[in-house]
Amino acid sequence: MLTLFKYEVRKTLSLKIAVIVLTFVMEAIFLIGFLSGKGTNFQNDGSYVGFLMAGTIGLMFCGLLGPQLWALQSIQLLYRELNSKQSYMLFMTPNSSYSILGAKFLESMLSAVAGGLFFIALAAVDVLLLVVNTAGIPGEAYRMLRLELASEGLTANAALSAALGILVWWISVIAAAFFSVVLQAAIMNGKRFGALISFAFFVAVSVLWGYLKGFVLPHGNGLSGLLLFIGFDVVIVIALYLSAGWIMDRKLSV
Amino acid sequence: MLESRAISKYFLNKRALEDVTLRIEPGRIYALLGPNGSGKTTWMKIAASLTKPSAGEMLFDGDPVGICSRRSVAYMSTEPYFYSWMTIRDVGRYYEDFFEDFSMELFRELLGKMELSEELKVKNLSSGMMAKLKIAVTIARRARVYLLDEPLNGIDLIARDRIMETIVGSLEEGVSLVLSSHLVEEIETVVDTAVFIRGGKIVEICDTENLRSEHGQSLADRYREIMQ
Repeated sequence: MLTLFKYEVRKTLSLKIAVIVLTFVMEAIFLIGFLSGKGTNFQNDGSYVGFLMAGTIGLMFCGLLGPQLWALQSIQLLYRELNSKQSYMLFMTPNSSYSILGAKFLESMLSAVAGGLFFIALAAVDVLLLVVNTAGIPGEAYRMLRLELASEGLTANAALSAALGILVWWISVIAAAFFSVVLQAAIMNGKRFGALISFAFFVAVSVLWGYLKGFVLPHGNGLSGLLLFIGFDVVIVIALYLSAGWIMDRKLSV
Repeated sequence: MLESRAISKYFLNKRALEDVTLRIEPGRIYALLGPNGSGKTTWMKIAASLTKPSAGEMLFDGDPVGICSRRSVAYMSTEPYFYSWMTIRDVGRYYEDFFEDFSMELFRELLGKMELSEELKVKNLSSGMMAKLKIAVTIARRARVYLLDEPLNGIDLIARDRIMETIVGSLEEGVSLVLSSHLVEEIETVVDTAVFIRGGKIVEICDTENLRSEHGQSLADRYREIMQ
C-alpha cells in the first residue's frame, strides 16, 4: 500500500505545492506589514496596515480553502480514475481494492492532518508575533494569550478536542464522498451524469449519517458528548471504507 | 493456464458476451478476431480481472482471476491509460514498482527498438508512439500470459511488421499471447490459433496451420467467409 500511497501523493502534489507557495506569498506580505509597522512602533496608520490586512486575509483564505481544495482534488481524482481508462493503472496492478482505496484515504487524511497542523502552526506564530510586539517578551506574551483564552473558557483540552472533532468530521466528509463515488461507479459504469449521481449519493449518505447520529447518541453537552460524537464518526468512517472496498472488489468493473 | 468457462457479460440489456468457453494453452499465440463490438475487449478485460462477468468464471491456473493472476497476466488496453503527468521513464518506474516480473533493462531495449525517448511526456505522444509505449511496457513484463488488445492500432503500415516481430521475439518459451485485431493480414503469420467471435459468441476456433494445409485458406479468407 505504501507504493500506492507514494503515487497518490505524486498525483496530488501540484495543487499542494501551489497552495503552500501562495501561503508563503501571503505570509511574506503579512511579514512586510508587520516589520514596517514594528519600525514605527505601530504608532501611525502607515502602509503597513494594508500589508497586514492583505496578508492576514490571504492567509485565512489559504488556511480555510487550501485543505478543502486538496480534499476536493482527491475526490475528483477518485471519480476520474474509476470512470476513465486511467482506472487500469490501479486495477491492473496486483493490489486489492482495499489497498487502492486505503492509499487514497491515507493520502487524504494525512493531507488534512498535515495541512491542519501547518496552518495552525503558522497562525500561532503570526498571532504570537503580534502579541509579542505589544507585550514585549515571548514568555509574557504567551501568558497573556493563555489568560485571555482561559477567560473565554477555552482550555487546552477543549481546544484539542474541538480540533480532533473538526478533523474527524472532515475525514468523515471525505469518507462519505469516496463511498458515494465508488457506489456511483459500480452502478453507472462510466455513464453520463455520474458526478451528479455521486453528489446525490453523498447528500443521501450525509443525511442518513446525521439522522443516525441524532438518533443513536444522546444529546449530551461538553467534552464527553464531543468525544462520543467523535467515536461514532470514527466507526462510520471505518464502515464506509469497508463498504466502499467491498463494492470495488465485488461489483466494480472498469 | 487461462480458462474461460461459459462466460457471459451483459451491460443493462445489451449482450457483450454469451457463454464463451475458451482455453488458453501455454506456448501458443491466439488471435481473437471479430468486428467492432463483437466482445473481444470485454473478454480480455474479464481475463485481466478488470471487469466482472455476469455469469460463468474465468480461471487462471484453476483459480478465479484476481489479484494473484494480475501478477502473471499482462494486459494492454487499446486505449491510452497512463497518467498525463508521466514521462516514458515514469511509466517504466511505475511498472517496476508494481510488477515483480517487470524488466527495466528489457523496457529500455524495447524503447530503443521503437525509437522512443524516455524523456518524452506521455501527454505529448502521438497515437503511434503511444501504441509503441504500451507494447514496450507490457512486453517488458516477464508474464506468463499477454493479452494485447488491438496492439497495431495507430501504428503505421511500415512499422507494423517490425512491431509484430519485436512482440513475438520477446516472448519466452511457454508463455501465451492473445492478440485481438481487425488487421488480420498483419498478424496472420504469427498466430497459432484463431478464435472468431461475433455478437459476443465464439463462432469458430481453428488452427491456422490446419487452415492453410487442409483447407488451403488464409486467415483473412476464413475471416471474410465467417463474418460476411
